[in-house]
This record gives sequence, C-alpha cells and structure tokens, in this order.
Amino acid sequence: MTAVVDRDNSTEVTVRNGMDVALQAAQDLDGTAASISLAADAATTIQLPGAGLGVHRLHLQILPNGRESPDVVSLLVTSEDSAIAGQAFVSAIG
Amino acid sequence: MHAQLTNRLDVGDERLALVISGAKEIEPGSRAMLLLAEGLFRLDVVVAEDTLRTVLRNLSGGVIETETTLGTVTGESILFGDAASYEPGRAGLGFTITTGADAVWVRAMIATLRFADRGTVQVGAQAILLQAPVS
Repeated sequence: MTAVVDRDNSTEVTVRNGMDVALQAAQDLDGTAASISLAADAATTIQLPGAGLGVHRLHLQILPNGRESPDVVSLLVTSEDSAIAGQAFVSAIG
Repeated sequence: MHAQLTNRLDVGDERLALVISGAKEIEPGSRAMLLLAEGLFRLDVVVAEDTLRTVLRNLSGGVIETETTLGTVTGESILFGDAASYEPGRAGLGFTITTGADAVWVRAMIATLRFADRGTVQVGAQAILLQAPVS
C-alpha cells in the first residue's frame, strides 16, 4: 500500500493486491461505508479529500479469499495536510 | 455513533467466525468504546500517559476467561507513512467466551499512535472471533 499527497493536497491511497484472486473489502472513508473489490494482481486507488478540511480517515477491511489469501487485513489511514500515518493489522484465521 | 467494520469469515464449516476492526481518536484520560460484538462483548480503552488500559464488558451472559500470555495473540501490526514518528504502541488481548456448551475464541490486536499536535491518541484494533469446535 502506498499513500501520496497530490498537488491539490488531496491524498491518494493505492492498495495493490498482489494475489491471483480478487479480494473483497469493506471501506469506511470519513464515516461513509462502502464495499469495494480489489482486482487480482492490480492496484486500486482511493482518493481522500484535500487539505484544509481537517483530518481524514480511511478504514479498509480486506477479507480472505481461500487458501490463496488466508489472512484478514485491516488498514487505518489518517491524513492531515501533508502528513499521512497508517496502521495495518494482519491476522490468519482458523 | 460508533464506527467499526464487521464481517463474517468463511472457515469452511458452519462455525461463527467474524472480523471486527475499528479506531478511535481520543484525548488522554477519556474512555471510548473501541470494538462491539453484539451479545458477546464490548471493548473500551482508556489512554493515560504512556499506559493503555482496556475494559472488557461481558454482554454474553456467559463467562469470559482472559489469557495472560500475549504469545497466544497471533498476527502482525504494521506501520506505514509517518506513523513511526507518532510514538506507536502495540498490545494484544485474548479471551474465551463460554456460554453453556458453546465457546468463542477472541484474539485482538490493538495499536496506538500519539498525535501530539492534536493532543490525541488514535487507538486502532482488529479482533478475530472464532467459535470453538463442538466437542
């Protein structure tokens, strides 16, 4: 996962799924929930709003998909101005 | 409103398996609900100086037995971006909820980031809930 600040001070979070299978994920961006799919062996970009609007938070919960991807991953990204901080939790199930 | 993400996990049989994750940004000294598993438990946290205190509330009507060996909590907690400059901390928590013949194992990882400029601490967590096999 990478996160960069664009020229307009918005933050772009890129999640790369390196598995051969698509992964389903639940997303919460500043309190708005959604379901997304991370395509196999591809990058998915999530745009966080620009600066000057306070703190922005992205919470992504990536679900396992069989033996190819047995772990569950939670990503927590916080951005404010040009500062980006993130935590990730990785757990195997079973 | 409490924001967390909860999803069911497929473990290949009919057992209950859930992942719950959430985060709260709180001021030191204040208490906040971090994770809620309806009908099972509620996990609150309190940050005081360099100490993270967890408060586990039993909502199950059964018995909760906590594990004191942190080695039982498996998984990884990873930092990225500028996180290393925010005094990161990590803790683990494991417990079993037993109600009659049913038991649910819970393994939680908790991580903190201290935002000194905002005077707050972000506490994030992920918990895996797994129903024990019926013996």
